[in-house]
Amino acid sequence: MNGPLAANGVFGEQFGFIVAFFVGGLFGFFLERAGFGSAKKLTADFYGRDMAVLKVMFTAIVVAMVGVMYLGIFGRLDISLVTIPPTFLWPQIVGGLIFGVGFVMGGYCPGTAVVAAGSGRKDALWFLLGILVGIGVWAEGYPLYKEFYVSGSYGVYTLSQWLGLPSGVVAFAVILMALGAFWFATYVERLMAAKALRGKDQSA
Amino acid sequence: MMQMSYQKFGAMLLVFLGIGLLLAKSTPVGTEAKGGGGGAILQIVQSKQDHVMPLDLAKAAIEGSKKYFVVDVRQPWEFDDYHIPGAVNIPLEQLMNEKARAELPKDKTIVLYSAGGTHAAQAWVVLAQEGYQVKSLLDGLQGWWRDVMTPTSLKIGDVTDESKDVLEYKGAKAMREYFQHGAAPSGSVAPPITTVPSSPTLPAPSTTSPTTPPSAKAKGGGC
Amino acid sequence: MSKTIATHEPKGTDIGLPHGEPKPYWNPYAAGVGLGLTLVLSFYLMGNGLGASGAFTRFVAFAEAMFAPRFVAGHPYWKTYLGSEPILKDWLVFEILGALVGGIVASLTAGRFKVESEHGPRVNAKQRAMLAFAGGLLVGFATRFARGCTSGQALTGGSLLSVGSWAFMMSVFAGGYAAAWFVRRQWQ
Repeated sequence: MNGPLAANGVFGEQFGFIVAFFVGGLFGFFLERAGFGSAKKLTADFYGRDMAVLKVMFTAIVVAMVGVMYLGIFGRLDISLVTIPPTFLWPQIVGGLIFGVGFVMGGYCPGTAVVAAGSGRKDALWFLLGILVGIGVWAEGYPLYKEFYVSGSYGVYTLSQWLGLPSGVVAFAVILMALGAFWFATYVERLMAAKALRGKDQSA
Repeated sequence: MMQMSYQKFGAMLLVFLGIGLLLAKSTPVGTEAKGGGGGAILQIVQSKQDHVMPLDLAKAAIEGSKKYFVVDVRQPWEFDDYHIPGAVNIPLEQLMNEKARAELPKDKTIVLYSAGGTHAAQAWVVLAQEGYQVKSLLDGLQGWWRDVMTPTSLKIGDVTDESKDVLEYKGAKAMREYFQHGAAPSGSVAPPITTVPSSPTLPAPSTTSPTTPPSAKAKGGGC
Repeated sequence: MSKTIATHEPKGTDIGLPHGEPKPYWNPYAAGVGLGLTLVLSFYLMGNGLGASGAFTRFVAFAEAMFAPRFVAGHPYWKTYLGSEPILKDWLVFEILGALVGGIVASLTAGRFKVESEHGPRVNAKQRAMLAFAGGLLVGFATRFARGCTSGQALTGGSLLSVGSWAFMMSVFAGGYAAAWFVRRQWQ
């Protein structure tokens, strides 16, 4: 059967929601197993102590990218029916910066906060409440940044279109970049661990 | 250490898979810039890829297919009067504005329609030049009413040859019933539409048909 | 600095641990492969990637529509969520409920389920709650500009090579590293 199964009418809307629940379950499960139900573990990334966030994220991105591309090449998945998030460059950059600040301050991102709440974390509940209020506040201010919200619009715009390279070449570069990032992250972790040890020696 | 060798193996596997992608002939994720110059457009028009048959659109809507993003280019009041379920209203002059066009999906086939077909055709040229996957609904709302909403017994011999073939296939009646089903939403009777000349004999269409139209969820996707 | 490199070279699989003690986290790459395959499955089955903030936006839309339907109908942003379909009848909503259940199952089976508030020794639970709320506020606010979060943009859009998603991801790290110093007391 060729994907996406939902768009190709293999199953209907009702069953689609069951599928969504199941896929979400796997999502939550792996997030928890990665340690992302813990704010300490998540934020350790920003202090170089434990770069699991970077490692998990880049691994997931690279695996999904390779998986989707091979499914496409073998004709198992019609990529034109997969929803690619469109690019609105400026709001996405500004949103990302604010998001980063909120992430390190609150200790979670939306998906991991759900998992953390499921692991019993009370602070995650506060974070989730904050998200809901933040969305509401944003919507109230919407008329103010209506124009900005659609600025830098490129529609569905991929790295390969931007660079003018075949997506296979871009994918290969992304893989190499990810491997480089893994190496660098491990290096930073060792550096910070050594620094922490030295700090202990001095204080002792 | 066992764990490290797994990691090294994984890294090498990734590199090999990456080389495979590097060498693959078809690279699927949004590579080639779609659309193109006038020549490409001419080709599309000649190959009749520039329009959608009303029955095909109806079929896609009933199946809940998400491949079409239906845009009504008429004026808002005309849209409020009647529109194809699931359609989004972007008046022609607004479509000519670059910013409004930015909200159109580039990953779906945009289907434009107007009352007849002229206005949709104008918008079609602009969007096709910008690389959108765009089609216009054959004969616009008139085509929709003629092929989908008009009972076969009322049909006059003015259908084009092309749509005659499609009319033959089973389900035209079912489609009509589908789009008429649940008409007359609570308390509001849709006025007879002004854009279609032969409509008074027809049942009033529902403006809030309980269908799953193609891409009613134009937004809120992603995360 | 207690948790220096606790997980970067895990001790292996989850066997032989005494009952009651949490099992170690997975190797990050193993968890990443699991997430990546989940994402592929999601693309293959639904044609959509994963997401989280979209579901929260629908929760807010739903709540506001319940208490102030006329306000929502006239609101420039919220009215776009009103349609023939119920607001919560969306695949993201079901997906995020699944994620909650998945998180509960995973934390219980790993012996990590614990009702607590996580923070460093230098802040108390009340301060932590306030920071969590403030952080959530910023994150929620930001997701609407970015049209997604780490799941919907960074993971999903990133794997589909969307330019905007990569820009978002880089900005998240930039913002995070820039702000990390100011809130370091919370975690250390």
